[in-house]
Amino acid sequence: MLERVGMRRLGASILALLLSFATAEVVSAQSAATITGRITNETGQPLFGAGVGIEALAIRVGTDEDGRYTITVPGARVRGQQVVLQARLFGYAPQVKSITLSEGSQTHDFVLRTDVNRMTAVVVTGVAEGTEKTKVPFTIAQVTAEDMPVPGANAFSQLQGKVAGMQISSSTGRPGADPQILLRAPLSINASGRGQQPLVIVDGIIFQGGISDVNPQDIESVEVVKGAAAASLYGSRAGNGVIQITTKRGKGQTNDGIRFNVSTEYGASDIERDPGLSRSSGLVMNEDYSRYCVVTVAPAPGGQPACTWTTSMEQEIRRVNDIVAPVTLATRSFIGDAGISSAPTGTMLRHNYQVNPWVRTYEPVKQMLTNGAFMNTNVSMSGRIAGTNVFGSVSNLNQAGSVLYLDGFDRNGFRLNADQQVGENWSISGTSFFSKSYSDGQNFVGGNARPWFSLSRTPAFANILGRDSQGRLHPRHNPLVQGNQNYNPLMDLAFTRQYQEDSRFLGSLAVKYRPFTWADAEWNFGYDYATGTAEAMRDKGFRTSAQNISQPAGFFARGNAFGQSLNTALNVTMRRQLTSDLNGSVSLRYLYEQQDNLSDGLSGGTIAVAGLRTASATTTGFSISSGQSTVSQIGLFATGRLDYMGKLIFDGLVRRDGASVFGIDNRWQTYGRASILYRPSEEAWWFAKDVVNEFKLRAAYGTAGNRPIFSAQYETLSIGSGGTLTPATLGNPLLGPEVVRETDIGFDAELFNRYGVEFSVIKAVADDQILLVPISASAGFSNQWRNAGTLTNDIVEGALNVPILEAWNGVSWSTRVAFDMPKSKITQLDVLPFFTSAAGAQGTAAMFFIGEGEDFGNINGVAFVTSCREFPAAFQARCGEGKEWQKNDDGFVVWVGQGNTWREGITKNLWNAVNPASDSPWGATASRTNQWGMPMRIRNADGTAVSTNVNGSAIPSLRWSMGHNVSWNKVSGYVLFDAIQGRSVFNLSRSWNYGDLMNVDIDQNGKSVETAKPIGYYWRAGSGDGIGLGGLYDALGPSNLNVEDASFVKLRELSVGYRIGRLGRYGDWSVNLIGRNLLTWSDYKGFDPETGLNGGTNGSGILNAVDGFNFPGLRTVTMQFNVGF
Amino acid sequence: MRTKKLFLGVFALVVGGLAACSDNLEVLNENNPDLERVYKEPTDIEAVVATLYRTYHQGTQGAAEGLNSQSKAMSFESYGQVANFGMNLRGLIPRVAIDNSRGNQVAGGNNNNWSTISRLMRTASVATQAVDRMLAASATMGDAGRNLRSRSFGFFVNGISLGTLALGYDSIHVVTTKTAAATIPAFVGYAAAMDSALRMLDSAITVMNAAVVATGMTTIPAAWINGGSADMTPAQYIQLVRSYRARLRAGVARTPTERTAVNWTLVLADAQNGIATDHQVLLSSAAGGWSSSLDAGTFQTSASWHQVSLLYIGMADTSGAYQTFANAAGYTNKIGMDVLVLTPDTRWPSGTTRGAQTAASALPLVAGQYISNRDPGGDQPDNSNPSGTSQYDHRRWFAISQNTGNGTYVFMPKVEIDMLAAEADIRVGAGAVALPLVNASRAAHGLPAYAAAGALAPGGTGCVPRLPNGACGTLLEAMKYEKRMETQLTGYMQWFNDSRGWGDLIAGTPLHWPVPYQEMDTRNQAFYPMPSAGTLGVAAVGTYGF
Repeated sequence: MLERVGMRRLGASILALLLSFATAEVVSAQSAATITGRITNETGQPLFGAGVGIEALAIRVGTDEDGRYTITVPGARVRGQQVVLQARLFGYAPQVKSITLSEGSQTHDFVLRTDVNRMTAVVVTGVAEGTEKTKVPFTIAQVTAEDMPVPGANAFSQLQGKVAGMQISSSTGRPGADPQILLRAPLSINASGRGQQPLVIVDGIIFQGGISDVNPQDIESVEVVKGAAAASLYGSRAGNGVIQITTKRGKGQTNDGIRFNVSTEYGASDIERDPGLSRSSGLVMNEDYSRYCVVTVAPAPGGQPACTWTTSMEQEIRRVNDIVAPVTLATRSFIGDAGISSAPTGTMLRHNYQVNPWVRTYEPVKQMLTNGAFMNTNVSMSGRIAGTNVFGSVSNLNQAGSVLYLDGFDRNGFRLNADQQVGENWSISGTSFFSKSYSDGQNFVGGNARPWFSLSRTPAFANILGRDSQGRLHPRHNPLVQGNQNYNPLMDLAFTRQYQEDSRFLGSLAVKYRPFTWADAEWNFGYDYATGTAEAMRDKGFRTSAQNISQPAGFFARGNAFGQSLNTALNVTMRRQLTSDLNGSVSLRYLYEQQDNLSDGLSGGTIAVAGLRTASATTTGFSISSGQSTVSQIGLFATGRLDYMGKLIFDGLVRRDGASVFGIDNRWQTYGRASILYRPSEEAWWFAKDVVNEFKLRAAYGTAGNRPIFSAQYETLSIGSGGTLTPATLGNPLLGPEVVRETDIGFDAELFNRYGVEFSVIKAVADDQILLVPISASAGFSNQWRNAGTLTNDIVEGALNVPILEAWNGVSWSTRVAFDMPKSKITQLDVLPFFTSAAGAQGTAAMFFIGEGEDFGNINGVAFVTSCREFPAAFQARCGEGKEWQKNDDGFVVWVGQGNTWREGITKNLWNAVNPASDSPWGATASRTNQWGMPMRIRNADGTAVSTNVNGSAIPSLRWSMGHNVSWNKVSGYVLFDAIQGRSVFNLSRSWNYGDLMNVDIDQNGKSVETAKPIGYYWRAGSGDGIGLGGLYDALGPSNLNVEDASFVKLRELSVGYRIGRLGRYGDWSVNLIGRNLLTWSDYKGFDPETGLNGGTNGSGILNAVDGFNFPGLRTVTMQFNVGF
Repeated sequence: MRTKKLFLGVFALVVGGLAACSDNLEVLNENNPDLERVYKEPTDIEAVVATLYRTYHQGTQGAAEGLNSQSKAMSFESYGQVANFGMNLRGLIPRVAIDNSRGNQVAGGNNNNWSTISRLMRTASVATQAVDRMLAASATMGDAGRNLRSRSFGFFVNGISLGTLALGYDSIHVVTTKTAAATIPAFVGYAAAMDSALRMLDSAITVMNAAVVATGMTTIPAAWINGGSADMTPAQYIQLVRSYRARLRAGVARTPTERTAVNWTLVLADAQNGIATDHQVLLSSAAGGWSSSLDAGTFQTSASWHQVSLLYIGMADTSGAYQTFANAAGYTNKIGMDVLVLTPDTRWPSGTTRGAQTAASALPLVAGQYISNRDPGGDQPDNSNPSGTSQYDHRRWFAISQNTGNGTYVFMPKVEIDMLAAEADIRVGAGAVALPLVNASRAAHGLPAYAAAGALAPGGTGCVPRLPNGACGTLLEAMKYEKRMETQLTGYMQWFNDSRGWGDLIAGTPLHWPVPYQEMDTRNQAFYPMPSAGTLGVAAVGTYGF
């Protein structure tokens, strides 16, 4: 009922506003004119593609290659009136001339000055109509095709490092994967099923699904609205910000004619870094260190092992693999094998050192990788055909990736954009895009028993390319005792067919009607249609190791997904000059959105006949699933704007949203914005005109929302196998959106007409957090989605544009630096504290602590003592240089006993020593943490290990980027450095390698008797000899050892180009050398510090800072050839 | 002017019309049912009831993580040194308290059974109330017998769910078949909760008897009760209910004193009228199949997950090695690996050397043999806790694990109920009645009969059981030995429940679990560890001196 009352009031308001504008002046018609001219830059070079127009007549044309333009105004509209002729090109300050529109020809040339800081660029996102940046009272970032000289394989990845406060992270290097985006800071504590991604709009189409289908080279410009203050226009889906992409169009052509552009790029990808492996072992060997002892008789307790005979690794690998059966034989046990599934004794752990080099070693990482080809070809046309402006493109991207046996990603795209003026008052714009893509190895990203996992556990002696006498790959390439991880990573890659095929259509239509100078109306419609099929098959007869005994039977799985999203809006904008200095405008809009999704899947095991690609061929383990959902939303909003002489501007907005995903008793929400802009540099009294030629102060407050997932409001029971019904979530009729209230205050300035400065201080308060709250088990249901908390972000961000050289001896050099410093804190929690995991990765169940007052993103875990201050007070005095507890060369405080140093473990035979429990810092229950020389975990008073030590944060303390543009005659260069500082990553891969003693850290070869450490130092942090001496491998979870500083600086993009010009009489040729992700400077010990796990409660690979056998990011080097004609 | 007004008027009309049309904001969730749809028709109600006991089985057996795995480590029914499922932590000696702090190492395991069984308890309650509403509305599932069968089954699962919670936790929320939907019950002590559970089992029997009278209803479908092909008769069903009643009534005791105070007359009456054969379920890996991920799954794979501790069933040994092991340097000595059990008990591998026993342990084991002597290469010694490790594995369910979880598993052994009867007889002073029950189990496995209720185990130094002090066991000890051998890796918390009542737990072992902090959080109540002030303490030094 309340909604209906609200709706009536809103309707009445709209009507009143409309009537107030009905008193506007009427303009009468007169006669005709032709206006011509030329647009050049400051050095006299013609500017191609500049726009020249008369806004009052809604006429705009573009310049040709010589910078020339022609405007023909139909005679019926020419009345000898005064109009404003405007010339504009992105990157240049626009110019206007007041002319008298009269019959006949007249010429007007323009010289446009470079607008380094783009103060005059027009933005269209977050505002009712296109507005110059200097007149927008909130932060909107704009990136154009000119800013992206290195075309990305993905539309988002090419934005990396280009917008302050926008973190884009390719948490997986798998070709075709979308990068993760975080604008400023996370706004959802629980983003499960929703993610932290901003709303994406492409040519007016409100997107759903990934962006990887879109051809990045079709993009004309991207506008980024980073917070609710600006994004309130987009209501319930814009809490995380908005990215609006505009593709290229054939606008600006007055005469028929088409310009073609062809570019092709060819190169290769690889992976930059290799974490490294121990190249030595602690296995017992024969006298000449050529063969390894095999256990045939159990050693006596505490005695020496019985080495009755030896073998080589090669022999053992041949023996277990070179057989007829599909399942390899069980391996023998090597003496001294302390792999994760073995049971090394305390004696072994104290006295074995990894000092004997493997007899033969390989480079498993290099073996699994290839220099996969990268090919990117685009053919585009732009111009005017029969009075219709068109842009079309055909593109193909083929990115083979860098993993042996995988085909990578292939995408074909077709685009046609068209614009047509109809009569004097109508214009129609259409956009269409279709793509088809193929992606290999969809799931070969992480998880146990997957290639990156198996690869991470492959010791240096193992040859993953090894083959048996029949030429078959060895499934069991590694005979050590490591559980199921000693399984050749290439087996899955070579023999599992796994791919995804997607088709995507994007279409939009916009009809504009401009009957009056003071009013126009627009209707638009956007449609996003996607279908995808994923298939996985391992054929019958697959060879495997004994740990995967059911696999030879094979399996087949296929899933299909269909999604469509449509949005349609009706908009009217009215403008009026209220006084001689004050202009006002009002915009009213109705918007309807709907998203539909359908999916189904089936799978089965034990394939009856090899080679059949059908679920009908499977005979066991059948599984079927399907689902569908529809989400609809209505938005009604009004915006108002008052502009006082272009120096004091007020902008306000009210939006009312109804969404089907809100609880039935809370279905309508209201959002709004109030913002103000003041430009003192436009005042007569401005004292520093020559120094600060532009100074804009702005302040904005706005609200936007984030919607719940489809099922959240409903009471649900899950249907288990066999039809078991289990209550799952209790419905919530009051469930509403998360409401983000953002205050954005800052300034933009230009100094000496050259240097640009942008600075903002932002506070974003995300109230009504949508949390999955556990309820008493006695209720039957396990959880309920509730609005129950507040996340508060404080951000400082800024950017600096510095034109270092401007046409100095033909050299131009400019640089742009952007930075931001985000902080995120849980300031209110209406439920009791809880933990969340990093996308469910093993060992991360308590990685993130959600409690009031806690910093969001902090990584919790256990900690080894690194400072005497961490001891109980009574022991602190006994700790330090020359005392009983000392800090060793790894930075860990260890017990060494009176009169010893940590260097004397071998020389004094101290590794056997154990400090009595009664003399241990944390008492008897922690007695085994006082094994000589072994790291100790920080414990509570009762002896339990502290598991909530903050070991780092997934949210960086500083992000910055620095881009340089250099040009000299026909040579141009671009380089972009992108950096993250203060972000930590739980290096799960490295941590687990400690369990198998394979990490390079454990290699003691070359160390001295003072610094060498036995394997027990690195092995399990258990509490007893049989399960470890207190070593660094910490039973899976995050610790202050394996949560590493993942700060980095990357040479993200490099482009060196040479413009050849015409070859013979044809075309305009250029060639570019392009590099992506070329170099990384980081102390991080994994493949790539820019890593994480997608999904989960955090909803983002940026926040799930876990290096869990992820596909590392790719480095690519290519040559690109361009020709325009 | 007219054009302007027309323009604005059209726009206002269009927007106003569109804005008033908000029906499409009403979207039905067609992926998940809600309670209204689930209980809409009588046959729907019956369909829910049909899955209740399977859910109970899955809740106690299907999940590897829970009190079952922890209690097995605490009672040495199974020993594994891996940190998974809290096994390593709960196996520690000296014992550690059950940490119930937020995010503790075993947070998931402590809450697993609480959550799943509590929710099942509510589902059984809701389903039973749905039956009652159906009856009140004069609707029917087909006939009166079917109606009452469902009602009885609701009482049954409601009762065993509540009883199962009372076995493990110190306080429990009691949801009965009368509890209103919106009610979150307060906690009561385990004894009071068990009383309620037993009353619901009483009702289950009463209603089933009424069902039989009503229409002569003859079957409890196999799909409801054991996942197999054999339906159960109402009489067999009542035997099963009574067996549960006996198990729960005896098993709820936390201390020897409480166990003594159990109404053994009632236990005896139920046990004597309990199951006539093993209560077996057919495990299946197919969709909807019953499963046992721990006992017949993970534990059957390697010694790192499970190995036989000799601390209790080492009493099978007749060589004297067990006594040396059990008494040397307390029980944390380093000789656990070296005890070779020489015994006439056919559940153990035959042979007098490890090699011979290994040879007699070819997998799958022959019928009647439960324990294997593994190949030495698979040993998993844990020198910090040798009481847990040995050269033996329990491989009774190996064939199931090798058959990807398919096979027949004993969820409740008949011998368990027989031994409850025997214990009751012994406790009420009717040892002679207990004698044949114990001897029957012994005879089935090659052990000689006790001559009399007051006699010790026959065989001199070759007797079984032979206690840590070298003495031959009494009839009570023989009953305990038999019960342990037959219930090992069956059912739920089997050894733990008996051992705490028998006073056999290792000193310092917590006697039950606190209400998980996750539940306390939902009620905004402070959580507590176990033991905790105001709650029961821990086990004292027990029967065998440890």
